[in-house]
Amino acid sequence: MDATPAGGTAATLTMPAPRLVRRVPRWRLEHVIMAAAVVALIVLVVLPLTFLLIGSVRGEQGLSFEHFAEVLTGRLYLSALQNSLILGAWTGLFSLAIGLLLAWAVSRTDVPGKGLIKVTATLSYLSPPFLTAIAFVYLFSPNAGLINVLVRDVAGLPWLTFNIFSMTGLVLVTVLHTFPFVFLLASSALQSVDASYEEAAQILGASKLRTAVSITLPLVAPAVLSGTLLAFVNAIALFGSQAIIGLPGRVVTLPTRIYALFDYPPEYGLASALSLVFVIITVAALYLQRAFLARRSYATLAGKGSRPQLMVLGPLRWVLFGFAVLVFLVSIIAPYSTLLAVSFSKSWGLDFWKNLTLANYRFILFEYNVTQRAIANSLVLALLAASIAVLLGAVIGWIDLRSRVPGRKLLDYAALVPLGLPGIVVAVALIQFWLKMPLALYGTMAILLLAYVGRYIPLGVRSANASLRQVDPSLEESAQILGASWTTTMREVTLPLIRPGLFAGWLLVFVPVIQELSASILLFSSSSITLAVAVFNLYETGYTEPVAALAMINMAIIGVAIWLAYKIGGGGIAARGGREGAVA
Amino acid sequence: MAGITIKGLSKHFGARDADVAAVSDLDLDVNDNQFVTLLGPSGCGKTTTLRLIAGYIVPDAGTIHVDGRLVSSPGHVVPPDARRMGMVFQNYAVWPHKTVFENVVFGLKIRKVPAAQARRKVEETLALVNLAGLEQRYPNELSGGQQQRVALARSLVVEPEILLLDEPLSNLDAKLRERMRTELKVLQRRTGITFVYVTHDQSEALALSDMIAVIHGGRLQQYGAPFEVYSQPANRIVADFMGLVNLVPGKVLETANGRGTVEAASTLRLHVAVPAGTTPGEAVEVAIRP
Repeated sequence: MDATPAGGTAATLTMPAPRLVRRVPRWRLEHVIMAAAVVALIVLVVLPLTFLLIGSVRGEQGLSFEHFAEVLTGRLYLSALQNSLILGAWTGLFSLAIGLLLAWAVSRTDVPGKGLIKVTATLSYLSPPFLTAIAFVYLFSPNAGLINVLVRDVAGLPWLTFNIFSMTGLVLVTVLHTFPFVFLLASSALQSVDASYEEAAQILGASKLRTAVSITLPLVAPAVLSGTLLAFVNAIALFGSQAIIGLPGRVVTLPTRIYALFDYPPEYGLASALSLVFVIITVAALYLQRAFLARRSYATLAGKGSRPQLMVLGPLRWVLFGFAVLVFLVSIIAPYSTLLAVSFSKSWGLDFWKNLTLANYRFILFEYNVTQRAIANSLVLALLAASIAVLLGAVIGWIDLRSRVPGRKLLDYAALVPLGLPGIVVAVALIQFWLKMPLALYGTMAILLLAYVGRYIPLGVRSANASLRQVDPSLEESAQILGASWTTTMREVTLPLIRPGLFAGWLLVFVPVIQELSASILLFSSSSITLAVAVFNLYETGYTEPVAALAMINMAIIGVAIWLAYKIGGGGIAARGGREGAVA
Repeated sequence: MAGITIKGLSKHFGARDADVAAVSDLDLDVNDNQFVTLLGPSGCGKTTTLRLIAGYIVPDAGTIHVDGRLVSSPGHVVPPDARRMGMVFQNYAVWPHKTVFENVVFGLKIRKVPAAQARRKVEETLALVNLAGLEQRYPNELSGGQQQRVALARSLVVEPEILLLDEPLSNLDAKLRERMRTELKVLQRRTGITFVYVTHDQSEALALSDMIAVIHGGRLQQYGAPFEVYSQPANRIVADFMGLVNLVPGKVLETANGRGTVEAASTLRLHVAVPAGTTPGEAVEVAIRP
């Protein structure tokens, strides 16, 4: 422009003629890919749900509501429904109390050990709940539980014993997994409330308490309630802990009742009807949750304001700190040290430390012929399910945000439906669908894969959606106008830009899949057995010490997977992720 | 190079009956080798027009021909990647995960230009926009003006017949904007590429263009050379938009040869240019620029 380059000007450069009038085929590759994604979603979610519905209203002679009638009047089913609701309500309440208190402590006070609180919440969230349940059985089973033995036989205080096989025990174990939902949503909401709102109230003469009650609380209430409902939904869907702790205590819940309906002879119709009742509860709760969260916008809109002044608690902060340490001990240290101790002991009891051994690991890894197969199966399934869910999510997210395909919003909703489906319901729906198909998928790895991808597709769509929103459409459009086809644009521009987000989504799917039990328990066969099912079966068979060894292996795999995944894909991308987001 | 012919172009967004027409019934002829500016306030439909020309949007009505070839009609739109156009976006849209070289060479790779030739062309084009030596930088290591030049180089390197520019200077500071303006003009003259340039800045339009299309409310208000649009606005909207103006009500006393005498504010008699077809006795508004 200022200086003329030696080689001449752009006008004199010669150019191989690009396809001037390129034929535009009616069906381009992008249409094929998008159509494939739509078909996949229909096969994964829509058809199984349709068959679940059909199965629930089909009697001996055509249409009949006999299954629903039985489910809604039978004592067995009503008590399961009641227990699930009681469990959900108490779990929600305690999750709210613990989660909100810790969130407030972390974001608004000068409590020491904030790192510890955050780590506790993250680890509790990532821990497989059925492993926590098994660990608590080792500590609190009425006769042999280590702590019960200690207080009854050694300390001579029988009234201090605690029977884990009860609703109380079930709530305790479940809360340890669900309080992070409230904690995470509440702390992010508390941090995003602009301090000036509170300062404005204080300058008008409101006390700190008054400000907290009349300004802060209403602003964060939607997020807190939404977290509580998430805790509720997740709590009632957990099959593992409800089977391990609930069944011995005769606390039968919806997942365990549905599971029992598959004992020979299987009651498909009843299972379908009960599943639908279950779905109605979770969908209603999730609907409320989304409604609450939608109202949250006014708290976050102002965001990025001044950081709130931290409350100086004085000596009280040590009380709060003590509480945080207690939560850490109960939710992390107690279960994991117990599992570790059991896994190394010859026989679990007061004297376990006298006979430490590696025999359990040897048995599990080399003599028990299921373990290696289960580990291999789980790894393969988790790798595949995470990759497929994320790729499918990327395509669906792209259709939703970038294309003008009619019905794209519907597609987006369909991809979110599985959020309202407890794992065991997904399994029932898949059984109903695939048993009617000429393809013999039942009992294969394929049906497990379908269950996992179907269950976790919302996470894939969510993360793809969030990352795509960060990429300005003009970045894609500028590739297009330079002559790049859709596939080239995706490969060269879109995918590299959303890779960090997709990677996070991949992990988000991988971790729960490798510990999935609720759906797997109805779908596995001896050849397609997974890690979580192997742990559960071993526990049910009464191999006390080897179970712990397998549980430790399970934890190690999860830990290594997360660490490796961060190592391989995280580092370089995360470093550049910042600037990628900034420009777009 | 190529000319563009737009006939009866319309585009609505949202519900039809809500009547939020972004562009309605637009006719425009852009001649080969011209620098044409689409000028108007934000939301007037100029960017929509540009995106219609690029093929990102399907028109509701009307046609766009490039060199006599139909490229856009309601039922058929040649996709952007087959149009041989270039586009510079308001936010530059320089890919943040590619170096300057990778950004610029992209279009050549699509056209399967041999590597050595492509490298030479990229270097020449970068020199043309004064970015020689920055090939290996990432966009986040460049200033706004430099990113803007990368976007320009990326569009120019493939020698498009038509270059579309969507407010390319609006994110630059005043001084840089002034300089880039001159450089753009020189570039257009030198390459002979047809430029379609969108801006809301009338001084930019006056300084750069061969022709200015003033757009308001989705409709073309006037299409003419800068001096014509400035000195003989077709209507009050154009007069108002083309710069500081005083509007005085008056009455035409007499006309002759395109000029006339107008009585304004009951005491002033002004000899001014009047639009054809103005008759004595007509009530008019006189636009007076300071």
